Formats: sequence, structure tokens, C-alpha cells
Amino acid sequence: MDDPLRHPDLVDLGRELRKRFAAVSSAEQEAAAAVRRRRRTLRDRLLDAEDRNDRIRVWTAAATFSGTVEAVGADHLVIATTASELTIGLDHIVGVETTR
Amino acid sequence: MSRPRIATVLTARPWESDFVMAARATSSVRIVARAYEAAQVPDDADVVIVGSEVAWVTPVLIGRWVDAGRRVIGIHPAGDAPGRQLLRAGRAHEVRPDDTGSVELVGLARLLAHQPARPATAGTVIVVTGPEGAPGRTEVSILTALTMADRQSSVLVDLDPNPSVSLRLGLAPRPDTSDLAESLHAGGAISDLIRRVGSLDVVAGSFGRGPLERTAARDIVWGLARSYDRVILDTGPWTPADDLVPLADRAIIVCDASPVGVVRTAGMTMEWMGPEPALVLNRVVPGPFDAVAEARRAVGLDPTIVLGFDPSIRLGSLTCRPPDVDRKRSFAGLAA
Repeated sequence: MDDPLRHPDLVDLGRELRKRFAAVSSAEQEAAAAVRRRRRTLRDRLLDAEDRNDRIRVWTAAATFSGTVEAVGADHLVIATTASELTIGLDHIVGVETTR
Repeated sequence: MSRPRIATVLTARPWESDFVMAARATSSVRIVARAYEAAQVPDDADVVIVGSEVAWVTPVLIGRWVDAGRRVIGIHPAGDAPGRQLLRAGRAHEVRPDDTGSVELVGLARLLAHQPARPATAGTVIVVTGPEGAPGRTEVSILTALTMADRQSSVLVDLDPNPSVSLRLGLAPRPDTSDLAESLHAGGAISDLIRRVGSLDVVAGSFGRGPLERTAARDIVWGLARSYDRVILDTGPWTPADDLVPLADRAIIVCDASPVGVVRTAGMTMEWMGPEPALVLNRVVPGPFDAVAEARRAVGLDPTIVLGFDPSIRLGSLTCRPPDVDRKRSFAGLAA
């Protein structure tokens, strides 16, 4: 069935309603992005980095490690460096930097 | 093939977060982006999963992804016929309601990712712009479009905030770019909304109906690039926030051949973010001010065309008559 709001007499009304709907949709999407940011955990960030194959730098209290994420376990992270594979407990991570 | 790269479009609807959770749980695909805007969808994503409820998702944008060789899964609210229609109009490979199980969607994404993609070619988009106060942008747009129309299918689109193409060419003000954008958004036909003047197809600018939305302008450009070899955009005065220039393959900057015009153009090119532009120096008059040399020095571009005060240029753009042979060669060079 044709959209009744395409009728010549209702075109302007239809345009206005579509504009309002788009504004509500944009606001909803913005809220979804905010919710995602607020709920995201460190593990989520590391999973993102693994899926995107980002380079990461991880700080622990004792040292800094760089490489790509090989795997993210339930409680640990495996980083592949040029020379070796490194396993770090998620509890020991104090900072993460990712680079695309 | 390694694990498929999937990009989702972030939405408030639960299907998207459920899909990401299922993808993470099965580890069978990589989630490379959860895009908040179109530019965040990576070029190398194998599959894009998108909901019809997102305001900036239009049939033209989906078609653009399909043409670029990505597989697209469209999700619409269950029972929402317009949403389903939007996704189908965009030629999404699969269209599913949002009550489809997330594990099923992950399987579908894996399956689609392994199907061969067939990228399609798109026409060349040429933007004609210039700093505020540069005269002759519209004349140059019309003459460039007329020159192109002799060789390839070409359309001139008036996206100037103060449109004058229809007035110059004696066309009725409607249908205009707003009508075209709405038709594209609804997945409708565009042929009835394009006027023909001589060998040239023209889309009149929208006047007095508010500024064209960014998404609408993008849809017009990409929608027409599917049907024409050349899409010439008359965009009016350039601003650093210009959204159209980044969509273009080629750019033409019109510069007034006066000291003020050259300085304004130099300022504009310092902030320019787009394809390397060709320069048209307009209204050159003999005298002590060497506009060509000053443009080279200050703007850093060698003018491709130098135009004097020639009434035939104005007349040509008003009567839709292509330029003479010599000038035609120059205008053809603008898009080469």
C-alpha cells in the first residue's frame, strides 16, 4: 500500500513527522552509545582490540608490555610480542592503550 | 578464510547488543566496529549488520555498501513494513525481523561472509565550489556539466544554499533536491525528478524549504552516482564544515581574479580537506595585478582555466549551450 503521507495535501506533514522520527531515532542511538560506554568493561575493550587486531600497550604495576592481543581468557590476557607470548592476569592491568 | 570481520551499526534495540554478545560467546566472527555513524563502518568489513530504525541509514547508504562489495544484513522491528521496505530498497542481502535469534544471526553472518562479493562501479563525483564572494561558480558548474554531457551521461545537481540553476535555465522550481532526497529515502524512482535541458540532466536546488539534511545530500550524491558517469555538484560557497567535498572524486575551485579573491582562495585551500582541486580563475582583467602569477604564488595551484569578462560564458550557461571547441577542451581538462 502506498504511504498516505505521500498524498500532495499531506506531503509537508509527512516531512515534518519523518523529521521528528529521525530526531527521536538519533537521540535513541546517542543514548545507546552512552550506555555502551558506561557498561563496557576492561575485558570488553581487550576483546575489541583482539577482533580489530589493534596493537596494544598494557601497563601493570611493575612493567609495560606491547604487542597484539592473541587471546582474552576469563581472567587473563595473552599478548603476542615479536619474541614471545605473554600472559597477564586481568587483575594486574592498570592501564591499556590501543593503536589501530 | 580467517574469521569474518563484522561491523554492526549501534542501536538502542536489543538485537544489536545480543548479536555482539553471541558473536563474542561463539568467537566465530570478529566484531571490528559498532558504528555510531556511517564513517565508522570500516572499508574492510566483510559483513555489515544494520537496523532500519537508525536515522542515518537509508536505502542509498545500504546500496553503497553493497556496491562496495560488503554483504549487508538488515534488521527491522518485527511487523514494521516501512523498515523492511527500506532495507529491501537498499538491496540488503538478507532482511530479518529483530526477533530473529542472535545465534542464528551470527550463523547467517558467517555464511554471507563466505559468499563472493561483486563490487559495482560508481560514477565520478565532481564538486564545484569556491570561497565566499567568488563569482561564477554556477556558470562554471553548468559549462563543465554541459561539456561532460557530450561524452558521458552527466547530471548537474544544485546543492547551493541559495540555488540559482533552475532560475538560470528557466526550469520550474519543483521537483527539487528535497523531493529527490525523499524519493531516494523511500526507495522510489528518481527519473521523474530529473529534468533534461538539451543534453544535460539537471536537479534543481531546494529553495525556501530549509537546509538539506547532511544525510539527504549524501544520498543524492551516491544515488545519482549509481546511474550517471558524471555527477557535477554546484555546492555554493565552501566552509570548513562542508560535508560534500569529502564525497567528491574531483574538485574545482572558482577564484575571483582580484587581490581579495586570491587571498580568500588561499585561505580556503589552507583548510581544504578533499581531492586535489583544479583552479578556475574567473574575471581576469588586463592590468597591473597579475592574477595568474599571484594565484600560483598564494594559492599554490596552477590555474587550469583562465576566464576573462566574456559575455559568451554567461550566455552559454543561461542558454545551456556548450562552450566553443577551445574552451570545451579546457573544461574537459577540469575533470580529467
